[in-house]
Amino acid sequence: MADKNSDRRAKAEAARNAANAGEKKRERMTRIIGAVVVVVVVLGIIGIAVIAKNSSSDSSGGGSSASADPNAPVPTGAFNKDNKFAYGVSLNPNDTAVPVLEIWEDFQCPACQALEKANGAGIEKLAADGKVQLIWRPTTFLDRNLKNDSSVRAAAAWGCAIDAGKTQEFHNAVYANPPATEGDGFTDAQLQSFAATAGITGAALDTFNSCLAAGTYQPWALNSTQVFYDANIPGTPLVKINGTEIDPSVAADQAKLEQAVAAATK
Amino acid sequence: MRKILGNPWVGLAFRLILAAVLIYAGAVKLFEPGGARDAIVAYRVFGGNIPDILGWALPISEVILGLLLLMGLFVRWAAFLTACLMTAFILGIASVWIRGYNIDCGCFGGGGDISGDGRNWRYTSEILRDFLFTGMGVWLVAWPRTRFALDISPSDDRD
Repeated sequence: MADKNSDRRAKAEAARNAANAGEKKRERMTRIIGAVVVVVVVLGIIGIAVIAKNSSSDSSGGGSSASADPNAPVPTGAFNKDNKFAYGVSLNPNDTAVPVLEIWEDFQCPACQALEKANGAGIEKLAADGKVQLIWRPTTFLDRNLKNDSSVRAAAAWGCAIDAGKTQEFHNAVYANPPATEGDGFTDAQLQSFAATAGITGAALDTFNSCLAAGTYQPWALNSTQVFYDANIPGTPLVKINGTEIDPSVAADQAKLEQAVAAATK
Repeated sequence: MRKILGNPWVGLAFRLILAAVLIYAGAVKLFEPGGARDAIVAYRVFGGNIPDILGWALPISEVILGLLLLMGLFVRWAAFLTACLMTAFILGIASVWIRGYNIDCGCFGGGGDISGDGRNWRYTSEILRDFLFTGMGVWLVAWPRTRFALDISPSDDRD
């Protein structure tokens, strides 16, 4: 009896061990297969994403045919590549004793348009009164998000207007006529009408039109956008006083903005 | 009936919820131009080219973790990393909130600066949501055995 019992126990033990070994093996197999599946699916998704990205930038422009080139010409008076505010545009570059008010803007950005509408005039008045040195810093990053090329074309058109001496007027004309919905962008005819609104006429308008058609300042706009990316600027509008970011709602309120400027003025 | 704590059916539900959230969130970011880079920049935490790297690494990690949880493979580890990721998201949103920025969390694509309307409720709900996901992850770390998993299945009723 005792022998039989121990025999049975040994058999059961052996069976259990065999089952455990089989289960271990099975589990190892499923893990290997599962890991392979994960790798294949992830690589597949990345591949599709890359292809989708390439084809969208091929077909719809996703920017422009121009490319950034640090040595490309900058509009008259704009800061060159070696300046701390590279590719920026100032209405009053000679007011160096006062705080610097920097505004990163994209012409297609609805929030920039809202800021300009709320307090664009107040901001420009601070510059006109010599309370700040106002520096507009163009970026065209929305072209990539919106899959068009209106930001770079509008910025390049602005460059042409800067050459014509209508920096402020053209800038404000664009923001006074935003696209009906974000992403609609600007046609060349619209950009030309902004030039007329800005007061560019006669021979100057001819020069503007050929400058716009040639895309003369697209590389400048893209250079500035590259600075925007390199500096990890989080979005637009982004307002800085002496290099310190301030909330857009402060810039949109003249009383608050004057306070912030006063605090930065020594 | 089995008790609720550690119930393999509850574990299955948590696994599938986290898997769906992670795979969706990762895939959406991968198909965006520039990945999630711009959304990460908006947190104003990382400088240099870290956002460029994270912009790809984060969504890829999300998809991998999601697939592992979906199949029930390495559940304990995948759940642990998911809980860590969700905790990092909570810290990120909280830090943005404390510093007073108004951003789209970019959790499921999008991202960047937005208007401050409804900011407190938005950040609160995002943080609560991520706490919930963290909790599911912690549950699966504690009780990784769930139904229909490729890891050893609990269907043999041993524990």
